[in-house]
Amino acid sequence: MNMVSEDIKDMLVSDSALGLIFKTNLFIAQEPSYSASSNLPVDVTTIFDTGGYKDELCLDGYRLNKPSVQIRVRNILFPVAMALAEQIKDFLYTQQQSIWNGTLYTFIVCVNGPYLLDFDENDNCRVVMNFDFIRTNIN
Amino acid sequence: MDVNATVGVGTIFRRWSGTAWQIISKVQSITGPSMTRDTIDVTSLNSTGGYREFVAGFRKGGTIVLKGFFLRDNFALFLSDFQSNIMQYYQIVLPDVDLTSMEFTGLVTDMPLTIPLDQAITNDVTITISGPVLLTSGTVQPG
Repeated sequence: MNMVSEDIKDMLVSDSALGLIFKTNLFIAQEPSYSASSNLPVDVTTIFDTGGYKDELCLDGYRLNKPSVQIRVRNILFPVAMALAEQIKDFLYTQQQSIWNGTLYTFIVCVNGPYLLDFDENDNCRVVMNFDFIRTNIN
Repeated sequence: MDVNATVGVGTIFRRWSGTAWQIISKVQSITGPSMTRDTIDVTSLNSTGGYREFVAGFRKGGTIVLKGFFLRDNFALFLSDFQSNIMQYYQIVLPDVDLTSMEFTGLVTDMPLTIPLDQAITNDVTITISGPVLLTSGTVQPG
């Protein structure tokens, strides 16, 4: 079973309407710092694994895994960041009961957000959302 | 003899199909058998020491409650047992070093679904035991 951030990355990349390309404007675990000399855009989305909850186990070893992630959207403009975050949230809600990399996502819920986290050192706004998942390996 | 505590994971619940034991999968917990016995109060004017006296009455095997994730196959199996008046054989095999098992016959008497918004659907099945619970140990036979 992948880290949940890997599967969420694949989900987000699959929806071309979001315009997210891995390692270009979509990242896992580390939000790239923006500098004028870098080729990376200011507008980036980053997925962080944030732990989650205790697995639900059965006597026969079957388990439901309950991870969580935070998705952070950085943009020059707050309304644009919020709009993309809402778009991501709406898309993830369509992924209930979907299978990604051999893992069945039985439940996806946005726990909170999007909301303003802060402004980075270049005055770009960063908004975040937190999601909980229930998933199980189907292999 | 097992001198260590035994954790529940690895426990098997099985139902006799008529030709083989069928393992019931995705069970989260088993409660029971909740065996009880009746007592008959025979306290009389001749009772001494200020204590009531009792003699043995009938015993009851009690119930077994299986809590598990909803699986259509499990639900259909227990529904057929619920709709049948024929006693079925069931067995619990514990994962201790003795492979302690408890075997009994019973009727499915309750099997509600719980359908929460944000959790897995569960199915709790209650089996009312008829007759004794037989305690054995040994190797688990193939399901």
